[in-house]
Amino acid sequence: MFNLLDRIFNFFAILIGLILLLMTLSIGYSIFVRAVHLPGPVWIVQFNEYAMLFATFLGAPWLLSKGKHVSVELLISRFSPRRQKIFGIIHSLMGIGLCATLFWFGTLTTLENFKRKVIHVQAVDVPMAYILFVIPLGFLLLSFQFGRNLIEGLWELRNPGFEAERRKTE
Amino acid sequence: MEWWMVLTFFLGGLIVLLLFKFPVAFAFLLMDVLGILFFVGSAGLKNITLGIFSSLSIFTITPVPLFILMGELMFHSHVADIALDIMDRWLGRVPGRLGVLAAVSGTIFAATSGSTMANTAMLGTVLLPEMRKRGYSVSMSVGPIIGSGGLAMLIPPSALAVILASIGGISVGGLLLAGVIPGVILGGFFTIYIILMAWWKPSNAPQYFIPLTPLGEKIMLTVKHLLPIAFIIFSVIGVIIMGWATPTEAAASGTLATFIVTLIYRRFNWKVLKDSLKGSIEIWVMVFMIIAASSTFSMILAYTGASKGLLGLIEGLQVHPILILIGMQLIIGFMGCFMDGVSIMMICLPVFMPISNALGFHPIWFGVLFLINIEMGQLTPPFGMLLFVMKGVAPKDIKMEEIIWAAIPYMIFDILVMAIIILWPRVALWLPGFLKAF
Repeated sequence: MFNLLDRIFNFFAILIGLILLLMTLSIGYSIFVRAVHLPGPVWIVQFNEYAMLFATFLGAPWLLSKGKHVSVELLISRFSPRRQKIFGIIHSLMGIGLCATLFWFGTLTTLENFKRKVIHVQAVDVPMAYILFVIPLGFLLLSFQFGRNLIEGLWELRNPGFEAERRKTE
Repeated sequence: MEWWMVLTFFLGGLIVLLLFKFPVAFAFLLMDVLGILFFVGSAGLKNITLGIFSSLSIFTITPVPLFILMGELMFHSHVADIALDIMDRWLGRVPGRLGVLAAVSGTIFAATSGSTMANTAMLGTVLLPEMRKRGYSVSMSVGPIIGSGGLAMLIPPSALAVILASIGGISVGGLLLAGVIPGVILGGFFTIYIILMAWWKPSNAPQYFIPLTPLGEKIMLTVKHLLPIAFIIFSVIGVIIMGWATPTEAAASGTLATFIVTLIYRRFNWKVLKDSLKGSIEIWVMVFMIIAASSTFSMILAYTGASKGLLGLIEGLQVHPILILIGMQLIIGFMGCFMDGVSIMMICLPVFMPISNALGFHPIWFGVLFLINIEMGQLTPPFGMLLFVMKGVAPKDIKMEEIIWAAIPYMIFDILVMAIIILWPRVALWLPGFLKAF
């Protein structure tokens, strides 16, 4: 199950890398065509705007799995390792509740936009639901990752050194 | 509920969550959910999705990942190493030459990198071993690197400047250009300080024999190896000043220029590309998740009247606006001791920008002061980000306390440059004036 999550996260990370390259090339291309007085493709601005949203929500679970979402160490670093683990478990529980709530309401909003056929009117008209779906998807994957952190945190609490061993084998 | 109670609830709740190490983005989101449930009701939670969509799907923030990618490419391809060697030859026998080299190259590389962490790590990895070998003290080795490494935040391409401008409603191109002169002044102060310290206490930076390079050879090498760096710098700053490209387009042209330079130097390979993309995605996603989460936070502050209430209170104060400005800077400086730059921006901007506008401050001028202060925050203990980057690349025998002491003079220069900008706003506002000229 955890391997499947890792595969999904890694797939999305590669996809974001490709998006970043495509952003660079597409904007570079638009500068070039303007310089030679040719009409630029109309989709470039819109694609790059959506890229910001998709990269963030497809990449956030991957970043959480790496433990790289920024946090403030000021107080917790003074606690004993066991107490720090307990706080980690509380964070995971809070994270599951938060992301599951946002997944639920995000899904409702997306479905509402789908049913009402709301269109994002830009250079290229795109149904809003096709853009918004990535937000609940991201929150769903985030809640899975928080769940995984919870299981690992509980296991680590009962078997100290498990996490260190796991990271070593990785 | 009174506006000050709302503000205390939101900021207090956020601070408690942050203190207990809940990740910043999720702390903002949790306060968003609690705030909406409390003030609007559960139906309002549906709007978070739309709020996130509107906060991220904007073209003005597109330069952020591209600027970060530029810095990562420079760092992983080691293109800068060649340029460092040329600059080193030009310095000759100046006192504290390796420290001066760190300050000069740090300022130049800041114009090719949008990431302070990449800039500091690059300088630290390349210069620190040589400085240690030559007997430089910690203050004369770590100090110049950590001080000039942070300039990447101020001198374009700066990812944080783009975020600050987008969120604060400031001209992105204007703010990017406004950082150039203060950044160069800071680099100049660092250089003068290093030379004076090395001259005053030669044991801190012992002189050593350097074979002199003939002038002709130096010119040849400069043309060969520094022009590509100048090409990258022009691809970002030049094209904005000339009016050839928007800041977003300049970010793409800068990134393409960096790709081209790494290809010319034959430093481009699969590993460089993979590591650069991975490093960029990590910073990009982390920063944008905070932006997404905090946009609703500022909307709730406005909706509940907390922002307006605070604004009314500040406007009613019978004190000089400069004192309020200093007060705001002190708050940013204090937060810099504990938090990263993006989080500080997201907490302070919704409150500070309306105050700044109400007091009639020029937004670009205010933005530059904000940026320098956040740059300083990366050096302030106990949680300055660059202190940890430096610790990561420094030899094990260098203690964190020594790194902190080495950074202090450079923080003082940050404060000095802020004072100069407050007294002479044209230092920051002169260059953005050219945007209108072209």
